[in-house]
Amino acid sequence: MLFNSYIFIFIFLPISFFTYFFLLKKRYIIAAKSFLVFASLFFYSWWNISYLPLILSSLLFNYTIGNTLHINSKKSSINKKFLLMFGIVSNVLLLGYFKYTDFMIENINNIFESSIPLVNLALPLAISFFTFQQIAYLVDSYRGETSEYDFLNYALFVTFFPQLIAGPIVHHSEMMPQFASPWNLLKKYKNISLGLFIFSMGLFKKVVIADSFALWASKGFSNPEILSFFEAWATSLSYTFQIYFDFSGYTDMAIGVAFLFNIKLPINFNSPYKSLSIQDFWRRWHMTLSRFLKEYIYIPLGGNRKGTVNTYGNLLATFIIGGIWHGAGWTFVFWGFLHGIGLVIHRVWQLFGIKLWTWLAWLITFNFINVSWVFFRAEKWDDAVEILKAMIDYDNIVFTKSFIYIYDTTIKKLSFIMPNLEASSSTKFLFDATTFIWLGFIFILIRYKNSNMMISSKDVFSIGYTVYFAFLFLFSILAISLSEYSEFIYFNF
Amino acid sequence: MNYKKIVFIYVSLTIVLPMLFLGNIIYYDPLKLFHKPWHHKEYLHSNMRVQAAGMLKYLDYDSLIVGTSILQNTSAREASKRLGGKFINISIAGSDYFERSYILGHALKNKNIKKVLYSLDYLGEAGHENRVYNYKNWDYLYDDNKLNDIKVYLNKKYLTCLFSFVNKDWCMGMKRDFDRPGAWYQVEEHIKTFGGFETWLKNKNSPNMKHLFKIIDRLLLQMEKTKTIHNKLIGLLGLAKSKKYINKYILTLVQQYPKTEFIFIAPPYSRLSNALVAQTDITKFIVYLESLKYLVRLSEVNNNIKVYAWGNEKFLDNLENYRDLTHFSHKINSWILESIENKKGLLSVKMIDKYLESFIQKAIEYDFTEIKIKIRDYN
Repeated sequence: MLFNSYIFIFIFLPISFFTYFFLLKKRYIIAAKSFLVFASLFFYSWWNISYLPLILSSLLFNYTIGNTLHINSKKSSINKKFLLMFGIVSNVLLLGYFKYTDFMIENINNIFESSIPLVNLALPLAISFFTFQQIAYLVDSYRGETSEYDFLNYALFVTFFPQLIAGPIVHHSEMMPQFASPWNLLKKYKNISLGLFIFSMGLFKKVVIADSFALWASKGFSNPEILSFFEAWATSLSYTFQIYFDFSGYTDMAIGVAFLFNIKLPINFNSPYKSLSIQDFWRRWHMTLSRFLKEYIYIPLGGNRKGTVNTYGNLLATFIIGGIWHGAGWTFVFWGFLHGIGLVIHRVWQLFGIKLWTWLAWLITFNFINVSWVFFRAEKWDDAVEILKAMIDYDNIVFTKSFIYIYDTTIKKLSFIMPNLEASSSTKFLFDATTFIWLGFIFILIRYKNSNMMISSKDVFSIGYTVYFAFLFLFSILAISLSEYSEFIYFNF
Repeated sequence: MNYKKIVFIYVSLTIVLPMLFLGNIIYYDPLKLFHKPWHHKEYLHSNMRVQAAGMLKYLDYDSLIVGTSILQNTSAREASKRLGGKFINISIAGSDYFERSYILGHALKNKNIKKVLYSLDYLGEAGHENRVYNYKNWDYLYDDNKLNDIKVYLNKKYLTCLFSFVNKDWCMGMKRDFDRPGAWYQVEEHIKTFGGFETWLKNKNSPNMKHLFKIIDRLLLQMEKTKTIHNKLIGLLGLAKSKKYINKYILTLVQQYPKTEFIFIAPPYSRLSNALVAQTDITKFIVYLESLKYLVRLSEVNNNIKVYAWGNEKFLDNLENYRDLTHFSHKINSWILESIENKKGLLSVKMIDKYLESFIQKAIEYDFTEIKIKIRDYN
C-alpha cells in the first residue's frame, strides 16, 4: 500500500484515524494504541504477509535485549558489552543475510571464477530502516540513555506506519515520550490541519513532480549508450530532481500522516540543493540518516578525536557504509566513496581558509551531487560511465538524434497513421524535460520557503493556504490516475 | 483562524470539487457510458476501442459487426437487411483478436446476440500487444465494474474539455452516420488513392502511400536478394501458436455462446498483397492458410461457425478496387454481404484444400515484372 494510492488515502488512512480517535474518546487507551500497532502491521503486511514474522521477531528480540541492557545500564560488566555486541551483530547479520548475500556470492564467483548459485532472496520491506532504528535503541540502552519503555509504546515506535517503510529514521528519545504523552491522546485540529497540508504538499511533490522527472530519467538511464550531450545532462538532472522530490515528497507525506495522530516526526530535508558545500549538503539531505551515521558510526569509529588522517579515514568509512546501506552493488559503494572523498576534500580546503564565491560554491556542490547520483541510479557501472562520458562529449551536442530513437522505439510504428509524430514527439520530449528541469531549479532555488518553513509559519493557517493545499491534493489525486510511475525510490533500500 | 474551520474548509473543498467534477462528467458523458445521451445525440468519437462501450450500452441492436478497418465501411443497415437481425458496426481499426475479445465478450455477456460478423485480419500472427493502443488504457470499460469506467475521462483531453466553457462539440466527438460510424470511404485522403497502381504512384508523397511504397520496395528488394523457403519447424511453431490464440480469443466465445452465429470472413486482400507475402515469407503465408483451415475444421464441429473467403475471385487482381494493398472499396463490403446472403464463398472441410491450392498458386505465380516497370518508370 503506497501513500499515493487510493486505497491508502481513501480507505486505510480514514479508517485508522477515526478508529484510533474513537477508541481514545471512549478512553480505551491501550486498545487505541494496540489498534495503531495492528493497523501498522496490516499496512506492512499488505505487500507481503510473509515478512510479518520477520518484523515481529526483530521487534521482540530487540525489545528484550534493549530492556535487559537498560536494567543493567548502571552495572559495568563484560556481559553487558557482550549482550550489546550480540544484539548489534544479530541485527547486522539479519540485514546482511537478506540484503547482501547475493552481492557477496556474485563477488566470490567473479574473484574465484566459481559458480555458487544465487539465493535470490526477496528483500523484506523496510528492513534497513527498522534495523537501524533498533540498533540505535540497543546502543543507547547500553549507554544508559533510555528509559524503561512499555512494550506497546516500543512496538508503536518501531512499527508506526507513517515512518515504517522509508523513514524518517526516528530516534527512540524523540518518539517514546510522544507515544507516552497523555496530551497526544486528544484530537487536535491544529495538528490535523497541518497534517493535511503537509500530506497534500508531499503527494503533489511525488505524483506530479517526481513522477514526471522519473519518466525522463528512466528513458535516459535505460539507453545510456546513445545519449547526446544535452540528453545526458537532461537525464542526470532529471534523476537528481526525481530523487529529491520523490523522497522529500514521501517524507512530507509521512510527516503529514503522523501529525494526524499528534506525532511529530523529525524533518528529513532542508533545501539540500541549496547547499554550498558537501558538508552542508549532508546537513540538509536525509538528515535522520546523517544523524544516525554520525552518532552510531562516525563517532564510535573515533570521529575527529584521533588526528587528521584518522578523521579523514573515519569520514570515508562512514560514507562507504552509508553507500552500502542504500544497496548491494558497487555503484552504491562508489557513490558513498565519492561523498566520503568529497567531504575529505572539503575539510582539506577549509584548512587553507579560502572562501569561494557563493554562486561558485553552489555550482560545484550541485554538480558534484548531480554526478554522484549517476552512479547511484545506474544499474551497471558501464551505464554510469556512458552517461558521464556523454555529459562531457562536446562533439556530440545535438538535440534530437538519439531521443528520436529512444522515444520512437515505442511509437514510431504509429507513423503511418500520424506521420508527423516521429520528429515532433522527440523534440517535445526534450523540450518537456528541459522545461521541467528549469522549473525544478526555480522551485528549489528561488522559491522563498521550503515545505518545513512554510508549515512552521503562522500564515499557513489562512483560507488562502487552505484552498491552495486542497487544490494541490485534488490535482495530485487526479494525477495518480494518469501517472505511469508509482513506487517510491527509497522503498528499495 | 479557527483550526476546526480550516479542517472543515479543506475537507469540504476536497469533497465538493470532486462532486462538481463527477457531476460535470455524468452530465456531458461524451462517450455515452453512463446514460442515454441528453444532447449531442448524433455524435460519436472516432476511437472505437472506447466508444464501442457507450454504443453497446445504449443502442438498439441484436447483431454485431466486429471487424477492423476492413469492415468499417460495411453498412449495418444492409447487413440487417441481407443477413437478418439488427446490426450495429463497432469495427475497430487495427484491432487484434485479443482486443476484440474484451468487447465482444462483454456484449455477448450482457445481451442476447444473434449474429456476429467478424473479419479474420492478421490471421496466424497471434498478437497480444497492439502496435498502437495499449489495451490497459481501455479494457476496464468492458469489465463488470461500472465505477472504474470514469477513468476513461481522467486525461488531459477530457479534463480540458469538461472544464472549458467553450463549445463542447469537439469534446463530444463528431456527427457520424450510425450506420457505419468508423467508415472511411468518404474520407478525401482515401478516395484519391483508389484507381489502381498508377494512382498510388501519383500520390507517392502522401504519408499513407509513402509508408506503402516503403513496404513494397523493401519486399521487392528482398525478393530479388533471396528466395523464400518454407521453414517447417518455424511453420509448425507458428501454427501451434496461432491455434492457441484462436482457441483463446475466438473459440472460447463461440463455445460459450452456442446460440450466437459467428460469421468469420477472411478479408479479400489484393492479389498483390498475397503475392508479396507468399514470395517473401512463404512460412508466414502457410501459417495464415493453415490457420484458416483450422477455423474451417472448427466449423464442422461447431454449428454456430461459418467461415467465408473469396481469395480466388477476379476482383483481387484489379488494384483499382484497392486504396492500398489490403483496403478495398466499400462496394466490395456490399458485395461481401450479398455473397454471405447467397452462401457464396462459404468454406467447408471438403473443399478447403482445393480452395487453398488455387489461392497459393495464384500468389506464387504472380508476376511482378509489370509492377517493377511501373515503379522504375515513375522514378
